[in-house]
Amino acid sequence: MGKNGATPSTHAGIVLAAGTGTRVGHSRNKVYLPLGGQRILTWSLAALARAPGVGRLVLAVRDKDEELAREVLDEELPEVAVDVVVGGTTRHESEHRALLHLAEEIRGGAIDVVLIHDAARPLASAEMIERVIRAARRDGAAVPGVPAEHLLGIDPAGRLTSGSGGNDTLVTVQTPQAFRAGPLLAAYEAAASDGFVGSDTAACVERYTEVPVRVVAGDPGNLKVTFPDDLFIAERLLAAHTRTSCPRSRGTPWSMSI
Amino acid sequence: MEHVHLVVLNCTNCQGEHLHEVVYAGRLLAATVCSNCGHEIAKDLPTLRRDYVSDAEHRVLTKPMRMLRAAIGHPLSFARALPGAVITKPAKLEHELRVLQGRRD
Repeated sequence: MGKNGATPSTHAGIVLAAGTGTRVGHSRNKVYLPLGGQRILTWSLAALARAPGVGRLVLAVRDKDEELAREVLDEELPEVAVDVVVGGTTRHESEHRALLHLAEEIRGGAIDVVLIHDAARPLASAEMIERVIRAARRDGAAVPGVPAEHLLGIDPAGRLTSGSGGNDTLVTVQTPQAFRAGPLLAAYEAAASDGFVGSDTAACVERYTEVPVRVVAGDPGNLKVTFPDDLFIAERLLAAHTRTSCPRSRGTPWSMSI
Repeated sequence: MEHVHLVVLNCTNCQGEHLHEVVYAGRLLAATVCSNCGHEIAKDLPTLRRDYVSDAEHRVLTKPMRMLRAAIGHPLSFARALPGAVITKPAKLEHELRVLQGRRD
């Protein structure tokens, strides 16, 4: 990937770091935590940067984190071109702003597929990213999902409302999610006109386009850093993957017994 | 690198989003502590020490190249930061050794 922008019919990756986690007082957004020698968001960006055909990367950050984000990128991903945009107060708004940043290239056909990824998911595998890109090119939109097992329904009083088992149609959805760029941009423009704020990307696409959203096989190891335990697990997994990870980054070689 | 970061995570013990201290020994995650309930998750010390030694070897071996890269890439900021980095290095090492002993003070 060069620093001069998109090549014809490339894919673009949008990494969302604007709404990830709450901040209290002097606390920091968790995606800036170092893990395995690099920040969590660096791993997330590098995963997309390695994917075949991804020629543009956009990072959506909080206004207050913009300077920090640029420092991290300069230090940890100096050879990867990443555009930093200030996101909004909601995930939907951040996605919209990132898409507007790419709008000209999308309308001109220079970008055909857009990947949307959570910065707090540093372990997205190359195989899974390729799967969602392939499915999006074929069908229009694809999200990775893993079977949601052992789910039970309860009412507000905590009483069981449905039996166990038979949950093979339920999945927990992960990122990155991939979409044909034109319909995705059109969906967000239509949503903006309506004042609609979707809870996730697929919801907006389903509401404003005819594009079917396909679920492809996700990866149980593609965890989202949410709980403290996730940090320890992610560190171990990153140590296991380190020899093939982040070839474009200049992070210090990372060693850990596993 | 800072040795203690403050971030909001979902506490598995008291439930809900709370501020957590995330403690490092060098580049290695050492422990997390919930500020709401005090719940601590920590690596066992023998494992942490073993990993620390292994990682320290990498850090030492790659230090000259990293410094050279920084000096070439950002000569001014490198020159500005160098004295401070040298002065604070003993304190950083002392903190890392304390964490490796299981101390949080």
